[in-house]
Order: sequence, then structure tokens, then C-alpha cells
Amino acid sequence: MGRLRNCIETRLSHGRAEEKGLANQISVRLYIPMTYDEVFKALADPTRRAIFEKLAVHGRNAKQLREGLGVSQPAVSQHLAALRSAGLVRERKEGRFVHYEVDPDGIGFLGAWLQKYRAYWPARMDDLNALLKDMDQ
Amino acid sequence: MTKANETIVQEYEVDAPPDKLWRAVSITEYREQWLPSGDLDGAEPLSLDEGRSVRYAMQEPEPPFRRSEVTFEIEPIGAGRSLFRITHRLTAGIEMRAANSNTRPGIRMAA
Repeated sequence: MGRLRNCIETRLSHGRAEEKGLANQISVRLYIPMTYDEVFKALADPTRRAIFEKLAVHGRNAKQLREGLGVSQPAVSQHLAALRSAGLVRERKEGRFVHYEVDPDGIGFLGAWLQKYRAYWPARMDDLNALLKDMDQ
Repeated sequence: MTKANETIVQEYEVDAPPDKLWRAVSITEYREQWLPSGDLDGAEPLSLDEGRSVRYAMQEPEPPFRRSEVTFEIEPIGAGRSLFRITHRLTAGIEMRAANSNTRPGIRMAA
């Protein structure tokens, strides 16, 4: 009942596992590029996660980022480097400062989205099937 | 600049006839029970083809507030069963640059 028939995903051409995957009644977790490991590792650190969430609200430079975090400048730089290499954050020169922002084209940003919603829909389907049963009564 | 063409398509066989499935998907009180409005960007559909398909805007309630669109399609497959297709497309890359103002605070990312 409500079992998954097909799962098709189109990937960005600059992503690694590009092309489409078509799986018949197979688990949804087939196409997980290696970079997700890096994404999860990058976001597992609470400080790094805090930095990412700050940047998700709006971009900032390193000095603005440090405010309220209580983290040293070198530590912030390290965290930003990790977020960049995970494809979550990008930097842009703005006058004397470097401006950091979430990279909406980054493999981390996209990969994390895919990862989240591949698991999200089967869970919604469980609830939908439960509702359909209730509607019978 | 951005392609934002990341798309998830999942198809399910559902043990309910199309008209019943349609009610569960399109009537807000029912839809709320399996797809919370908090996960949507507005409870009203973006478009709707009566009995067949409906499209909603979605937005993550927490950072990075990625925006997307989901389309639900229903097809009869006989024996009182239906095919339910979910097509979920990330649109965030485009939306963020558009920086529209008719949205919840906090979602405008890069200025």
C-alpha cells in the first residue's frame, strides 16, 4: 500500500552523480554523493551550524559573523573554510571585506535539500495512507 | 546564473480511488493531516487541475529557508487504486535573487 513505485531524480550537470536515476520499488537512498558526508560533518559542529544559520538569514563578513558567537577570528576562518569546501557557503570580495553567503548553487546546499526531501515524502505518504484509512470509517 | 533544477520525482501506488485521494490532497482540513501548512509557503495552491493535479509552493520553516514547488498528480490505475506522483522542484536559487517582499521575514538571503 502506497509503496514507492518510482524514484527519479535529475541532478545538476555540475554535480557528481548526474543524470537520472530510476529505481523500481527500491529504496530511495540510492544516490547519495560522497559530498553529503562532508556536508553533515560540516554542520555537525554546533559553532559551524550557528555560522551557517546566520548566513542563511543574510550574508555577512567575518567580523559581523563573530558578533555574538564568542569565537576567535582564526576559528571563524577555519569554520568558513570548512563550510566552503562542503559547498554550503561562498565568498565574495566587497571593498576591504570578504562577504560570505550561503551558496544556492553549491553542491552542499542542493545535496542537503535532496537528502532531506527524499526522506520527507515517504514519511508524508505514511500519514496520507493513515488519513485515507480514517476517511473510510 | 543558477539552474536550480534539482528535482525529486516519486510515484506511489495508493490503495484509494482517485476521487477519494483527490479529497485528501485538495481539501485543506484533510491535507493538513499529512502535509502541514507550516511546510508550505501559503496554504493556497499555486495551480489546480480539478481531480488531477495540484501545485503548492513550499518553503523550509528553518534556515536556509529553501523554496521549492511540489506538484501532486493523481491517475487511476484500476481496482480502486491510484497512482500518486510527487514532483518536487527546488526553486530557491531563483527566488533568493528575486528578493521579493511578500514573504515571511528572514527568508531573503543574499541582498
